[in-house]
Amino acid sequence: MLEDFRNLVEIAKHSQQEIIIWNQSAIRDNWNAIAGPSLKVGKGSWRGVLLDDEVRINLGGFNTPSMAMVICSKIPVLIHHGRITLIGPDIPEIDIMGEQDIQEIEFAMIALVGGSNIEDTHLKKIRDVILITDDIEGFSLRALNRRYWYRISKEIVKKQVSFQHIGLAFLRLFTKTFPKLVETVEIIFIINDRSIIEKLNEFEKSINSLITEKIKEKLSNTSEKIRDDCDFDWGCEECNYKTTCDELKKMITFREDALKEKQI
Amino acid sequence: MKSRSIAIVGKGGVGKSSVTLLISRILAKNKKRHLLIDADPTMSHLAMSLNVIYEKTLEQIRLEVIKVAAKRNTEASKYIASNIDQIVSDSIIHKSDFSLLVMGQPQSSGCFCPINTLLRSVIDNISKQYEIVLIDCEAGLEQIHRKVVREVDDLIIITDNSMKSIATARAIIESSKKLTHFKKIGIIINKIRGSSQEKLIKKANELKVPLYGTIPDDSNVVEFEMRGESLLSLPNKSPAYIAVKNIVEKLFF
Repeated sequence: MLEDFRNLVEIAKHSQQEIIIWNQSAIRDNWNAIAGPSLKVGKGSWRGVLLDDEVRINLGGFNTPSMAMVICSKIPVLIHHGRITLIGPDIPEIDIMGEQDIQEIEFAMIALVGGSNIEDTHLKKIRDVILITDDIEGFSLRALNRRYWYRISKEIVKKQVSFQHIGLAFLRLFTKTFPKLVETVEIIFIINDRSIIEKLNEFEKSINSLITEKIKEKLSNTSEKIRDDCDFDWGCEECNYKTTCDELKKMITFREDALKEKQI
Repeated sequence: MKSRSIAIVGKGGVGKSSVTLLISRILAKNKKRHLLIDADPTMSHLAMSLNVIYEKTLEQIRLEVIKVAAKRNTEASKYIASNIDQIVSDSIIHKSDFSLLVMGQPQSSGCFCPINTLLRSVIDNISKQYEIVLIDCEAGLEQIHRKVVREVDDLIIITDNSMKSIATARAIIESSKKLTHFKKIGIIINKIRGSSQEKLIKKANELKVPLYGTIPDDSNVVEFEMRGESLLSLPNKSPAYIAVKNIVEKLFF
């Protein structure tokens, strides 16, 4: 999956003239050491909502393609920790591109997250990191009719913020939220490349269908297990003896604890 | 110690309990510490054949535990949980040659799945004290389908002179492959008579599982069973005893 994605990024690199790669791995413990404005990062770091009047750039939009996704790997070394790649123009260049109040650009952001202890059960929470609310100063998520895009405030554009800072903010969010789980994070931004963004959307759909299949399989395995131990075909929620069974489940735990104590 | 668990299965009337008893006798003679589980819920044939009087079945314990759980008194639940292994152990009949646990007839409505999980774990724990656990199963496929014998190491299918017992064996093999995790499976043809021997062996071989051996139709066994005497005292020179001894020695030693 990671390889397929990297192939797409290579295609994007060839179609764009502007490519910037920032490597931040040396300053993992000192993110603020980057030159330029430091953004407040973390839950509740700012008020979280951007009004239309306050927005300078829409990264995507109702009629402009956008996507953001997280790809997790159990092999952290496959991900270049601290690397931020920008394929396309940076925020200051976009800012001077047009005269209109709000600039709208085609946008994709992919966060690659590695951790040897990442399990399927962690995936949703890790993926939810990019659904930011009040996590990054001057940066908000807009959702309408199942379409999502990010918005950047006039205020931080004036401060000469770049995708390096936005990328750093996401790096910090992932490592701060999952300090023990996430070992490596890499962020890739792709700007103004409609065909690649569409391909990435397709790629995301295929990942989602894989996840859906996995969930379906798990659900079916679980119901199979219940059937194994249950003589009846209806669910426990319907059963008059549910409270007794709940107490029996407690007994199983009590016994396990008692056996452990005996072993000690 | 991980014990080896063996389930004796087959059509009703083929002699599962008799074969189980004879296997037990030979295991005892070879000083193999073993636990017999009478898992036939309809009638405890094994206990009857052994002339053993049991005070408490596993089903009775199951009911008592359910009653305690229904009261939802945490202290009482903790007490039961801490002592359930001892309670089940106390229900086991210990003789010099074998130990016997009788499952008994289900007496409760409702499935109460968690107690099955609890008791299965308790029996697994108790089984560690034995080299071999020998389970005399209910006739037919019910316990295979309900996965009562899901985790056994060996499945031994008993058949007899009838084609129906071979057909049952075929169904057991198919279901077991889907529903259990056995490591070994094989057939013993019981009550075999001279004229039918060849045909039955041919039919059994068609099932494509090993034929562990055949046990001849033994008038001593018939007589013992008619008199209600335990097969534990079947003479050593009895053809059925000799046949089972050969099979057991091949399988277990």
